[in-house]
Amino acid sequence: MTDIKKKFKHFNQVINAAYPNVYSIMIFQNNEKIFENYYRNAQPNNRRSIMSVSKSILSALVGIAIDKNCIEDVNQHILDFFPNYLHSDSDPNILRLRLKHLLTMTSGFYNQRLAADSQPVVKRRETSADWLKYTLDLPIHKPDLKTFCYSNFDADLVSAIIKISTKMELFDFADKYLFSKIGIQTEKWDYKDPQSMFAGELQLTTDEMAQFGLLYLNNGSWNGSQIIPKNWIHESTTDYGNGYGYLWWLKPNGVFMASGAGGSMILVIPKENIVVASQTKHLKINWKSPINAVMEILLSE
Amino acid sequence: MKYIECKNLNLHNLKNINANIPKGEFTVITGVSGSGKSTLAFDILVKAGQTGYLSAIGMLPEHEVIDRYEINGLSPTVCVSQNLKRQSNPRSTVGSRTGMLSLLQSLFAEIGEGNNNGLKLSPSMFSQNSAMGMCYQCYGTGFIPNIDEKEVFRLFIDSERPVIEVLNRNLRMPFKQYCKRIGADYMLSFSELSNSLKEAVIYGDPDIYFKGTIPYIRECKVNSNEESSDMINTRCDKCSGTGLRSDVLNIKILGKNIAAFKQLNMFDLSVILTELYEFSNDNSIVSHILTSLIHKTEHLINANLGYITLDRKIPTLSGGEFQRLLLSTFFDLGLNDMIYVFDEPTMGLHESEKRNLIQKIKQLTNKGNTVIVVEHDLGTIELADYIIELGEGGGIDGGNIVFQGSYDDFINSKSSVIREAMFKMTVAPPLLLSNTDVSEHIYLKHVSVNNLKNVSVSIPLHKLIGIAGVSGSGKSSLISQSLVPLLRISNEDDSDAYEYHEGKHTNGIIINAEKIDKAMYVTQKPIGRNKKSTIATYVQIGDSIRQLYLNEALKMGRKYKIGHFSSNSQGACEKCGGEGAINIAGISYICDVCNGKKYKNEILEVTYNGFNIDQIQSITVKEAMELFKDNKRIYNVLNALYNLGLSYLTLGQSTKTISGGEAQRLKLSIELYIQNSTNSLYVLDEPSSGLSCYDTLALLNILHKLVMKGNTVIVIEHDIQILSACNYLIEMGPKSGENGGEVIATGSINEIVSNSNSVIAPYISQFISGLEIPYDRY
Repeated sequence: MTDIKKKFKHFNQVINAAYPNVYSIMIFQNNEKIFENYYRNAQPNNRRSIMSVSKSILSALVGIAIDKNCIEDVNQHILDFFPNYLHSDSDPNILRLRLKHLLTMTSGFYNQRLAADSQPVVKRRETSADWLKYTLDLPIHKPDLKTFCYSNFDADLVSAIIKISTKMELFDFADKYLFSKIGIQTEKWDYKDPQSMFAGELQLTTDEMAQFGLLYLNNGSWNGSQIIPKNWIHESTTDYGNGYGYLWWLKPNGVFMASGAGGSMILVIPKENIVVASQTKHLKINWKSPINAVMEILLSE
Repeated sequence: MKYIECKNLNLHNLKNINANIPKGEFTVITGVSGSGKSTLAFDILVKAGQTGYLSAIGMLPEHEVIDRYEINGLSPTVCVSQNLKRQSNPRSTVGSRTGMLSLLQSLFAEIGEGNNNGLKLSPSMFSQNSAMGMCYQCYGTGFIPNIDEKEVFRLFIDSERPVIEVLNRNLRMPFKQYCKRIGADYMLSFSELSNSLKEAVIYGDPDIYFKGTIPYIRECKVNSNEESSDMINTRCDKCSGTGLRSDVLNIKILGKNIAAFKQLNMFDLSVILTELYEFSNDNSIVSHILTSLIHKTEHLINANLGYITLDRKIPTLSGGEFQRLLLSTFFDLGLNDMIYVFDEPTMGLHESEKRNLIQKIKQLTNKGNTVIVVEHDLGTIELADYIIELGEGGGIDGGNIVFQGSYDDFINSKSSVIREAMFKMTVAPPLLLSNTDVSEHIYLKHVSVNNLKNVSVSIPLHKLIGIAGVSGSGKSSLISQSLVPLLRISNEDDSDAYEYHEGKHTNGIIINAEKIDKAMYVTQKPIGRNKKSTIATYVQIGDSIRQLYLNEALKMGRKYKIGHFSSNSQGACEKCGGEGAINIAGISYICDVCNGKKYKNEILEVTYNGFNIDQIQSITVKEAMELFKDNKRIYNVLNALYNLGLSYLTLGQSTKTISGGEAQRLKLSIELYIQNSTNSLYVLDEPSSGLSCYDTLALLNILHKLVMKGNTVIVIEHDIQILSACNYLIEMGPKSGENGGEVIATGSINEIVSNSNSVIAPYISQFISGLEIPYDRY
């Protein structure tokens, strides 16, 4: 057995033994697939929810919407997109919120995060009549607008802004300007709220996830056409002080990552020309991101 | 009979003792202060009982190191000590601690009426600590900061007039210029403005400069110096201070919302719950909830806590109240063969309440539990099935068992120090003051803090004044929450000397406050958070002692400075830096250069009367008095400690290791002998707690000395021994909570004894006349 095969065998043993959440791992280097494997009876054509990895796709759509002049820029007031919202009981700090605060998770909207999945704010929103109004009505708990607080609500508002500013359904806009261009063949991206404003779960195959990573690795360019502006790729993967770009997690050495609950991820390593994609199952406990196994076993020298 | 058998205990000052505690019985551990009672009860029995249980169920972290002693017959142990209260969450209330609040929340979710908004009710919607139920304006606290941004915002959004007319006059011209610069119309109303302009009006625009309304108000407030009113948070208007979302406040049971329920005392609550129960279906969830709630209210009433409300914050309870609260919860547990250890549960109780409580505690043994109480109270000792007394003295003079056996044996014991004191006990006579006619007074008028009912009272100066009254009658409200803060305000004293009560705002008027120089609230709070603070440095003789050593060194021809005799300074061992220990990979080793002595070896060559600076640290106050008898200043301070019954402390002992009672006496000795105060007012809240009758006499001695120097001392007390020694008593009552809050009697001891309104009078007259049988004084 060659060294590389030994390495792969060892890696697969580790994933089988110690990463019960992992369904698949796919790695591209220099735009060539160098590794692909499926675990626990998963198949290449399985579409699975990518969880919060979809936040980074929303980020791409904002870049496209700015490029299409639907959105001025990230400094636009969020109230510009919700013109009839402001009322006498609003938290006046909402006047200060810009799109960039949502993209960088610094809106300061109240978000009590408890252990595990118990999030009363989420439950309270689910029992409300209008989720968008509920979200905008939340008090701004950290009015310095600098405090990083990872919250689905900020990303939810981003998806509503995409829908409102482009005057298109979220899936239609994503499909027309992004999915169809890079070979993502999924046929739906539903909303999760009664008013159809907030993006629900998005299901992709491992290969489709990797394609999105490759688009970013190639600075937004695909077969000679520019899908996402190059400066947006750069701007959205720049650190704004919290190890976080515009809905992208940032790592040292220019590495950036889309990451979801359960460990699903798209990892981009520009210096090595590598993209890693992984599908996982969202186990409530005992899950680990496969990123360490990938880095230490597969991508070590 | 089965015993908990402990062998060869030698922790702290214990001297290899063997103790046998009968199982299923009521045992009192007593002894003078510092004799090792707490070491035996809490540091050994509680710790062994708890760690044994926790490791059995696999909850003990592996790195936990357990001191292992040979103890047989242990059971799971529940500890009820005063410092559990300090570990409580500041938001914790009587309702949350007893579990009654969550029952009440479930009750509201089940049978609350007036749910017109179609909410799907759940218990957490009635909790201000859950994001499901909290008010989003104050985040469940009930208070908001004084600059109300929303109020400012509403000024604009609720107006249809042009913004420039709504703006403060001083902002109008800048706003007009700002609009011209960005090319906007300045005559628009707020709702017609762009979002950028709306933001600028409220918060300002730092780029194209406009100050904005909120920054302007903030600047005005800072410059106006009206700190008194502006620093205080105001009650949240959205939830009326309840901390709950406004829609659930409309949901009511028998016309009361949950906030109103939380303000009911146990007597009133039990009436309402019983009424609800009578109309409920026998087997419904509701009747189960009601049964639990009714039981819990009854337990609280039986624990003398009937006056308490569910919204009472745990940190505002006295130590005694808190223990009784916990006690009330034990009766619901249905566990047997447990060990319950209490730390002075009668503390803070009126004589009339003590016996009832002790009998209640004793009832825990009926279910087969073992009850151990650390206590000085003579009435408690009388009720004990078994008594263990440690002694003879405190510190190194203690640590032996001087008696163990039944009460009958105790009475006839020749070895017991406490029994000896019981019979010898004499009343410290009230001070005779030569000029009582010309004595001055401070007047407090129209005070209505907490349950006080517009109280006006005069307090004579230069006397020892006792504040008496049953628990919850308003003693602390009158003194700690009214007198002390009022003195502080009127004398503009912002020193840290007041460790006064927080949270409540006082009211009322004070007259003649200027007649005293300073007022100080002397608590039993531990002193010296610094781990290097020692007894010697705390009583300020450290430098004097170092100076003596410097003199010796200079005689030896060494060119030292005073810092050479400090382990925090030039004298420190160079390897360990004066720590005495070095840390390698998280484990502490004794320093191999100084052998743990902290000093450079050459420093230890300098001796004073045969002792070097390290050896001095381990001698007791008593021994040091002999050693330093030629230095008047050091001797006087040591003598004060000796007179206060603290002769067993060592000079180098860390101040962290001393008890609350010892801390209190140390603070007083500083006032008396070091500050040399002559016209100050001292307030002591239950100074007798933790003191045996022997130690109480020592405390009274120092209080009398303070008064003789012209100071005024106010003690808030239940202890008859202390109250009988006061020059003047103010008695609050007649009962607790709503039925208290009045001054029911004032005057000298003789005047109180003959006052038929007084509740305490019979106990005092019995005490004064019946000292020979003090254990029968209920």
